[in-house]
Amino acid sequence: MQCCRNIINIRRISRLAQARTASTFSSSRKINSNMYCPSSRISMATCIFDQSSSTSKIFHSKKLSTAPNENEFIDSLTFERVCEETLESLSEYFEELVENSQHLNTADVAYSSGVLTVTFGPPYGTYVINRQSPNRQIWLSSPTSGPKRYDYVTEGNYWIYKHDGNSLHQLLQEEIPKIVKTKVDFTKCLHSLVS
Amino acid sequence: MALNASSKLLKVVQQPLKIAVAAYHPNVIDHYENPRNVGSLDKSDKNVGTGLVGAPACGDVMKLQIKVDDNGKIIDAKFKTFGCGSAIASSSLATEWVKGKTIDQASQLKNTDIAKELSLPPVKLHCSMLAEDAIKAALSDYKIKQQKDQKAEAQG
Repeated sequence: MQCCRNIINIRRISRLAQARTASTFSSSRKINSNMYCPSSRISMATCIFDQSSSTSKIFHSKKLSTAPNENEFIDSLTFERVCEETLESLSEYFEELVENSQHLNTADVAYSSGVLTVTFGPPYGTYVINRQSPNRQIWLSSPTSGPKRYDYVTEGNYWIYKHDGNSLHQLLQEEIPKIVKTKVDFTKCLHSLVS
Repeated sequence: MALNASSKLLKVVQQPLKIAVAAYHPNVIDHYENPRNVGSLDKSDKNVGTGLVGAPACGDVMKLQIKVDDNGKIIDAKFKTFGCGSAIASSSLATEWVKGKTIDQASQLKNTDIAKELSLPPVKLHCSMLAEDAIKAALSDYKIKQQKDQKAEAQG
């Protein structure tokens, strides 16, 4: 038992160490790990922009910019830490859920360098939850409800999707029970808010 | 319980390394290699709506413009996208789809339709969302321009 604990601890530590290295080189490594297409695929044919759209400006869609607290951009160190904790804790909980669901024998949970991939297998599909450092967001891709982008709310200590005002863990709390077919409690995870 | 955890660990070790291969659907490659409607429209024209979405820092910026006739029908659409293959394909497809539609019909276009047509993988669903945002931004820009124009006429 003790031995087994140690193995798990080593796994955890190596994961953390991996994450640390990844965040140090996040700008170069992230692109390759987050996206299936390498950045070299960027088309030069279609990237010529007006001078007015200088590269340092950040463009948001109208809807996003009307959300409250938009100026509250957390600093990158806090972001990296909170994000890492959120994904790490989600990863552990997903592993537990998958392990306890007998019918999900082909399911797989993988977490590395800011990308959490939860493959439930057919007919459920795959969830991808990843760190998006440039906009200090967590992005989620759900096989049922599609893509969403979450911002961190400092006062409440949770992640919010500003288009509909729901939290990241709220969405998972609603969608995941239909797949794992057991009771779930995402409030166990760090930086969660479930109403 | 201990046995269970270590046997799971063994299973992990035994699994062959999976190497992710970038396999795009032919529809994505088609739009990526032959993008439709690349270009610009005159953004000061009152019949042109411009939508600019994305963030250059994340590697995706999308500009989508629509030209609307007096009956509220979209007669032309152009785009310029700086981003990955899926983002380019999504915006290319979006311009193709909105052409000939009314502004109401165009606002009904969903990211899921684009994702489905291009068979985008889970991580790439965000690209189709960006295209939907771009259409909405262009439509909203057009509507704001029209309202301003009507106000100016009423005052004049």
